[in-house]
Amino acid sequence: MKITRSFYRKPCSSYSEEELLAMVRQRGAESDKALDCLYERNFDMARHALQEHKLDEEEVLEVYADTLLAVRDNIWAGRFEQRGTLRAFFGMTFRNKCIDKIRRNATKQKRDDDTRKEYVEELPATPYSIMELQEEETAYSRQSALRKYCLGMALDQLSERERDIVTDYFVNDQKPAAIAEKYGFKTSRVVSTTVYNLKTKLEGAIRQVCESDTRCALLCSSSSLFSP
Amino acid sequence: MEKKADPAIERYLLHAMTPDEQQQFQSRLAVEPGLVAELAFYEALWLHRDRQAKARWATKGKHLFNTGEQPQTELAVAHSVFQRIASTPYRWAVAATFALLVTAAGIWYVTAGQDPYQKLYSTYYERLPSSGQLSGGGELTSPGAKTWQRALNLYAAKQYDQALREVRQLPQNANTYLFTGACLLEQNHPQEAIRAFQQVDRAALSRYNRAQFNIALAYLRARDTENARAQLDKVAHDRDNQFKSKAAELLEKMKR
Repeated sequence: MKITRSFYRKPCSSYSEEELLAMVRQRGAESDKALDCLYERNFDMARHALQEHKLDEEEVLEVYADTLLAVRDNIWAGRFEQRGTLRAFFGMTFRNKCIDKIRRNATKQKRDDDTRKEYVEELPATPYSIMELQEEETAYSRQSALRKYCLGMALDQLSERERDIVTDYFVNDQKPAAIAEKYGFKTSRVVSTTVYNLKTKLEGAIRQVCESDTRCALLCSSSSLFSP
Repeated sequence: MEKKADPAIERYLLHAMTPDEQQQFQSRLAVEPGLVAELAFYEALWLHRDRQAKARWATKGKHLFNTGEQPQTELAVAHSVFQRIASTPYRWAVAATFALLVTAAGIWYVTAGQDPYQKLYSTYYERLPSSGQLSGGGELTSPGAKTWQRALNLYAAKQYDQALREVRQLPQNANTYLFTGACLLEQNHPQEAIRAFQQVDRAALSRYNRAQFNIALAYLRARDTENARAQLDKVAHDRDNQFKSKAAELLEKMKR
């Protein structure tokens, strides 16, 4: 069976929407495969957006990927009720996100122009992500963006491989044996010890970020996480 | 070690909480510092997973933009399968061996397992005695006895070509014709075998009888059922033939 699978990969075009939905709901590798298929199948929307909207290729790809993640989260949270097709739902989400991006670009442009007028010689040396979160319109979305920014700083304290291992174990729900094979560990026991150490390392990094950067204090506090 | 996140954390990360749940979760966060840390931990990992996916899709998206590639069709998949096979020769070898085995088993099933006449042939055909004289022929005490014995030994060893070469050195008689026919039949040359068996003279009765029965079996081997039936009928009605009961039995089985 494994040999057959290694030779033959069912093309994305041959899956029905129901099959793809079921795969997304399964999580793990099946979900990744279904999302990759959805990415390919709806890519005509990205091409269309490139022609129709004032967005460059990189922006379209970013919005398109965000759309896919939003669709996935909606499916997982049970918000996609299948009243219409998955493609229609994807298209509607993508359109909204494109409009959102265009509006944010316009806001950013205006702010840049204003900043240039006021501080022609002294531009703020803030990280790009922080600049981005300033573009968020509501306090809640600004807070969400700030959390992501701070967590990103904590994640940076782990190597790419370490991040992948701990994510595969805790989020992608992979078994220690599969992780051992994927990353070249000798035994599953070594994997268990390693992921425990990496968990401690990441928790320590989060603590350090929230203690060293006042903006990131929200990671260690129980301040309201929800929009009012 | 606990691998699964608190279910509330997943609902929070999916923005799936009802207002009541939100309030409860907020209250829990106020009194459970461990939950605050766990939330940040899983939120970081979800963030990393999404970044991984976005990086993968960005590469794919650029490729799709640059190539103008359409979603994969069956043909494209067949092409990629071929490329994958070509790049992994050991897997190709395993697949080829497997395919050969399946084909061989299929051929065997069709040719041997499914042909009832071949089954009957295999059931009723008797090989010649492997040593000594075939039957009652005093002529084998002649100087050719050693050659004859060699031929029989080769026949027993299933080296029919060599056995035939040996027997051709001997003067032709009922024994050699019967022997030649048997070798040819073993080599799956039924028509030639029939010609050899037909030359066995009735004077050597026991060999003649065996040859007559073998003619019927040779027809069966050649899938000539009509002639096989006629020959078996002839044997079954020959009062002097010791194979008459077998012939009748075989005829009966062929009718089923």
